[in-house]
Amino acid sequence: MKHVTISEDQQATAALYALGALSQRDAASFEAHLREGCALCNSALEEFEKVTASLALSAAEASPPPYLRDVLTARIEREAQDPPERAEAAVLDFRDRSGLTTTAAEAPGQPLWKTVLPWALAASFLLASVVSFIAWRLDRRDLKTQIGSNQQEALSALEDNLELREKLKRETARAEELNQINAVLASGQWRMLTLAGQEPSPSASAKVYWDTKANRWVVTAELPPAPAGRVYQLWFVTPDAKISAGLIEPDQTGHGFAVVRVPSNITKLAAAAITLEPEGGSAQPTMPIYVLGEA
Amino acid sequence: MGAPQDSIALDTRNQDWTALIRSSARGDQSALGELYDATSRLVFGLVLRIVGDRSTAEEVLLDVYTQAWRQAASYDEERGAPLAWLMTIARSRAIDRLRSSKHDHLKDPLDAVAEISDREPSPEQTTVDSERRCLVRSALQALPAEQREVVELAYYSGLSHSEIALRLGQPLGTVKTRTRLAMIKLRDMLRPVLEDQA
Repeated sequence: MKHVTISEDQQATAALYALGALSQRDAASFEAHLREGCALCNSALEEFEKVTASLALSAAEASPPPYLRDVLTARIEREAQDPPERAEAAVLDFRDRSGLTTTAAEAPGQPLWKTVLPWALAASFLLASVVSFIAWRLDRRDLKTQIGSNQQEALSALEDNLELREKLKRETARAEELNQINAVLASGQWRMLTLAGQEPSPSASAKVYWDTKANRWVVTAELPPAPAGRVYQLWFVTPDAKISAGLIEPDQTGHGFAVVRVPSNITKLAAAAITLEPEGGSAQPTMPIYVLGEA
Repeated sequence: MGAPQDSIALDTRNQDWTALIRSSARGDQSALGELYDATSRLVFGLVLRIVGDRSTAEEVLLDVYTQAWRQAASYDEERGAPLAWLMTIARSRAIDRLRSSKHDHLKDPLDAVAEISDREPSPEQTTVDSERRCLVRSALQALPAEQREVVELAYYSGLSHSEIALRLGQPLGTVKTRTRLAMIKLRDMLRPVLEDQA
């Protein structure tokens, strides 16, 4: 029924409709009313829909982890080669023949994601590759001539998978490090020591985020690969002693990370240093200093 | 009513993004990549806010851009700007996920909202949007708490008005009134930016 002024109730209906918060039945009856050509409700709705759209901007931006872009690229690559419509068409023909084709009917990745733990993201990527591989296979008559290249595809997907896992591991580790550093910075009582590369490796560096309240060090370091049988060791340097703060083991990229408790008997700190020591570490530094920073 | 430069920057940006969607529709994978690079922080922010959990948000983000890739050909710029289109897909996928995970009793949407709003916002990129986003946020903040609550439950948790009433222990009529008042206030406060829509 058309009306000349908009009632509060109709306004509320339009507002709820714009937010997608009406029940299906109420939404259907409001849509019917709109189709009758009610200009007042149509224009009220149009404005509320713009409000709803702008609410999307109220969430704070957040950075997705960089590896997601690689996963997306791989997905799109697969879709480009084997559009979902295609897979579905193939399945319609085969629906009754085997359980396998039902799996293939699912758009690559989607329902599968739900059942696979996020950590296994890379693994499900492989699974989805296999699924689309199956769909693709069903779609082809010249199976025999193609099988070789398909195997290669599966192999390269496996390699991608391993690479992604490595990446994921590194990203997760870095995120954990950032959390630790943030915790120090959030303590409100902290100092940062910058450790500069010394003669053996001038490009080496390290940073100590020192939570002076909890007396804790969060250490990050960029170091060259340690020679065989040698390890990096971190030191508290006081005016009259050098006290071991434990070993620091860089990853493949040369990035090292450690969280250490500063012993309570250290009241005055002169410097922090990382040296190269024989395997197992030393009681006192014996080998060259790689990075050094005054406190 | 943003500064004219902002309006122009927004127009240019919208044209760029529309072109990327068109190229994606023609099968240009790198165009989708560019669109992802330009928009994923905004989209991820919204998805994370809705689902409240990073790993779920990551999966949803992939779904959003996969869907954008599939539906790029049907994008109609007359019906909304590129970002609004992406955000609509994002909200709907995120709420779908929230609803399906509710059955797995994974997370109460209200807890998710509380948890996220406790988090410190990540540093913002400087985008032509920053002014509009500021305005949207302050408009939401300017609402009386009980009005903001109903809007947030509807928008971020995808609850229907009767679900909201149940959750808040308020009569349906109260929820309707609060929603109406909230949306009218938002409309009036946001009027300057509603015309050049996201």
